[in-house]
Amino acid sequence: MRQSKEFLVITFSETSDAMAAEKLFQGLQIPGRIIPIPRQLSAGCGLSWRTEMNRKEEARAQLSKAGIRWQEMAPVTLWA
Amino acid sequence: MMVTRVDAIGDACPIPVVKTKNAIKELHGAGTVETLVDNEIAVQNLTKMANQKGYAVKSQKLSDDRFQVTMEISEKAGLSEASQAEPGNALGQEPQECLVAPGARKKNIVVAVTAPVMGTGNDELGAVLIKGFLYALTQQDELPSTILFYNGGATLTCEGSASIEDLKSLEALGVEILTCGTCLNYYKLSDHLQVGGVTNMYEIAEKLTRADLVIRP
Repeated sequence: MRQSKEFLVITFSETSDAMAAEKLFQGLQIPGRIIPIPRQLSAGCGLSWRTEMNRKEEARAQLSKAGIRWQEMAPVTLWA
Repeated sequence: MMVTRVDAIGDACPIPVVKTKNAIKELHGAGTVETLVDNEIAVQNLTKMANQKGYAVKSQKLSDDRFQVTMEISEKAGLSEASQAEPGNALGQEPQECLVAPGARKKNIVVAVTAPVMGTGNDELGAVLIKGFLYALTQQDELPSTILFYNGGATLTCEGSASIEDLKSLEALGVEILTCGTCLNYYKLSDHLQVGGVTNMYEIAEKLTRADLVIRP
């Protein structure tokens, strides 16, 4: 069965920030993964972090604590 | 929550999409629409429509000629559909919905992964790119039939690869994942394969020659 659902996608303007966020979230065991920025958000290239919708506040707090700049946090429906 | 069933068995494009859209309008709010169709092309067209509209969608093969596509419509999306003017509402008046031609046979797409990287230039970047490519395959409406891994590409189906989960989900969707046995042996990875099957050069040659389209990332 193929199933789509809503994810929280966090975008970054710098690839290095996306990779730093990956390291941060993996260290904190916040579930999620690096994905190419979904087409629904931007036609540009670059990386983003995909996580569960209910992790928004936690992710926001941890990014700000670690001083990692992010661009946008948006819900996107993707194949799970 | 409201569940509506749409029977589109025996219907050619665009009828399944039009019937489903009408059922969504009839919801006048949140709800679930389950559409039954008899071919994979209709599944693809319905899925594309759902993705364009941002509805959560799942599809299931019930038998060789029965497929069920289920869409979850949010309150907001349902109300907005219901309130839209309906010039194209009549059956058969939305030819733009036939994104995949009616009667088309599923294309036999084969992806040949020949290296642990995508493109040439910088291999650190190339490794990030191939990981992104294999993820992006999981997000396509039209999936390949087979993904072949050979030479350096064979490392991507083995322990330590960052793409195992994506390849497993593609396999679960019916994509055949095959890695060259000679290559596994050469790289001493025979005991470390994590996803898919092992193949030989005859099968690789057969898959490539019988493909409608070969993609080499």
